[in-house]
Amino acid sequence: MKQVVHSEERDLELADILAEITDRSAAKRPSLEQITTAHPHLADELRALWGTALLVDAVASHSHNDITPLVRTKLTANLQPPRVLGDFELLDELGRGGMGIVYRARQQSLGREIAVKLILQGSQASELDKARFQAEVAAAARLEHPNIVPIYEVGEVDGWQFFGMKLIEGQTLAKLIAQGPVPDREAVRLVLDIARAIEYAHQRGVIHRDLKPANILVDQDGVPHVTDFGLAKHVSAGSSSLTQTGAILGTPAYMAPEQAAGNRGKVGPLSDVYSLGAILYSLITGRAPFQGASPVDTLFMVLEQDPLPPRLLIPRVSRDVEMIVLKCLQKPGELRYTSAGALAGDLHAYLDGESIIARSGRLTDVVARVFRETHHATVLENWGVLWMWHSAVLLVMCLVTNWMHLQRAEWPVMAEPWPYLLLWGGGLAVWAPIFWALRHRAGPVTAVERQIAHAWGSSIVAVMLLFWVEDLLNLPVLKLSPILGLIGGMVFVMKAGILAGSFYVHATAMLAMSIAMAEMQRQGFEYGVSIFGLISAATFFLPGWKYYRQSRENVSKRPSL
Amino acid sequence: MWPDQQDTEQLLAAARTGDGDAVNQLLDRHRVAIRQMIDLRMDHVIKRRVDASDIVQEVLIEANRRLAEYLKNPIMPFHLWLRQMAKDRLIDAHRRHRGAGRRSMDREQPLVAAAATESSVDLLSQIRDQELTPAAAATWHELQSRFQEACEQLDSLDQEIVLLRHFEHLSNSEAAQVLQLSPQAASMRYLRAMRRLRQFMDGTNTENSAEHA
Repeated sequence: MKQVVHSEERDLELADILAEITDRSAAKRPSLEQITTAHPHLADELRALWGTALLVDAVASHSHNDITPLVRTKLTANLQPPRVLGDFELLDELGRGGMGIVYRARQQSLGREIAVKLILQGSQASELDKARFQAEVAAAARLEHPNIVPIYEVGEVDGWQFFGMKLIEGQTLAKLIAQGPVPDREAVRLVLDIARAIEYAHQRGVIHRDLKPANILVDQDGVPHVTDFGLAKHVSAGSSSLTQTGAILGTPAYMAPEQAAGNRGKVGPLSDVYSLGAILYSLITGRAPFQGASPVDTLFMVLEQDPLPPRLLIPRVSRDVEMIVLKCLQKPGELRYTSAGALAGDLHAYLDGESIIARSGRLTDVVARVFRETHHATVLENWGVLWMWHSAVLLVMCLVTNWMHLQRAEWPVMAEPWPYLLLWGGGLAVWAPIFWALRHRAGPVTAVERQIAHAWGSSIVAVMLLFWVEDLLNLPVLKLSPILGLIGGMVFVMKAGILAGSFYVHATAMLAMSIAMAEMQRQGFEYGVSIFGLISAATFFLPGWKYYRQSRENVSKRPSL
Repeated sequence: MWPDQQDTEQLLAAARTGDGDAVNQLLDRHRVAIRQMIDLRMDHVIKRRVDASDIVQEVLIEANRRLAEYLKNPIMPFHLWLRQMAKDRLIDAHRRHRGAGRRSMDREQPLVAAAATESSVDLLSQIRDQELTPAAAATWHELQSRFQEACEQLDSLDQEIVLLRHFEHLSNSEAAQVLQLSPQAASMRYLRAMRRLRQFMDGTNTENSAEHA
């Protein structure tokens, strides 16, 4: 019976979190990582629900597009291209890419063998397809880099659109990986070349968006060449009408979570950084970072799970290479390398035996993560006004305490602990129920708030017991008052963990205050408790004010019902 | 999919002052959303007999007729009000064409229809549309059919809430209003629906979960 009650409470909490996340627009949602760190006890289920929601969104946006389909010509049976396209004579099919078939061909005027990519729908292609094809070629043709397959010529014959590019004799990286894991240095060397090529493309506003081993050709000298900028899109073009958002693009095993999620977030250069990491992962381990039983299972894994550390699969992989790979495969883009160039730099450093930034960079990542607000921070919106009141109560109590203490010369009872116990015990006995009742009026109290209330309650108990300890040790009253700062500091460290990393600042202030108060006492300065009151009032008032304003803004944004 | 509510509020305010232009704009900007809402729910058989755009037209005419009444007493947000009328008309259409009580709209499987594509040719063009590689297209295809199969196993209220939250992009409180539930009950419904959907979509334990349901 008890278990049923528990699981229902848990469900209520889950339902609340889920409704809140899905109420936000895609861009404003917290990351999966933020959600799960905020609710560690619900992490597994939240992860599954999150992935499901993203995939349902993807299906939904797909079916929206479906409602008003673009008018297009019907496919006809005749898809056989002519044998000769202008200067090119097609020989045999080499493979199929995103929208085209690649042929081995002979360029008659120069008598050389080249590769020709032909648009898949041939002469039946819609204007939209043709525009896309042109855009693809235009983007790719401007790229001149030793590790990018060069494009020679674009043409159209009888409505058939095609372009000729350099024929690379060799094999794809996918075939290489299928033969098993590659030694670290060899893998790093390959990805370094690819990363430099991608950085070069990024600088010219072209994102590859479909980087995977099958799109990389390795020639007979072992040099990689990136091909099939088939999904390339101009960064500068902004919201291109040619590319629908909400589509799941690319191959699930190598695609970044923001691509897998369809309409969530923007697909950009950092998505290519992710794919580069995925390629390096599969080179050193012989398998893609995520391999589900089916593509959809892989999708779920890309969205929800962390990849197995490469060293777990292949122990001989170097720790540095593992760090580099895992940094690329971070789910939030901001935790990856800032660019393909930065990744190339680190790969180069590894080859030269220098220290890599994936390690030191990890520290800044940790710092960034530490100070981020957790998902729980929104509960603070219910607390804004209350915290401001609380800061006033605290300040008054501290000032009164300090005043009472100063009167002890004329008023000997003030050297006893009882008046203070009465003040704090009585004051809190009145204030705490009022506080809690006010909080209840704002809505149901969540489990997190209960945790915080516990931290808080224990600090109050500790403060009261200090008077007793002083008495037992025959110390003058308020001798141990610097410990107030230590207690307050500990409570704020807990709040920092639960709510928002910014509370570490408050914690530090409180801890420092304790040392300062001890020093003041040593110097005979008698207003330490008042200053403590001011500081601790500020630590409540400032966040209280911030969250109060935040909740006001949110209320005004909410549609009137 | 529903138009921006702030602009709607402004137009409603203008409509209160008797601005005829605002009334036209107000109704016109909801046309596409109503159409989509209907398309998402209309059963395939009815689709052949009834033109969805006729229903949209009827809804807008009715809205125009009853607008003064609504402006005096706006019991719910404007888009939900239009939605309500569209839903009533849809139920009527289903009754007329499929026999009263035999298959009410609520017993249809709207999501299944929403996720389904009409024919393989259509699917192909969709895929081309989104610049999918063949591998990605296969993923898409599988995702879609998994979703469809999973939806078939959901009960109608579960389906409806998924439709409201993900296809119509209504907020939790709006969905609650449409379903006449408390926001908390709606969020629990949604949680339950998503849990089941996940269970059914997960290829590995389909059999097990089917037994539980």
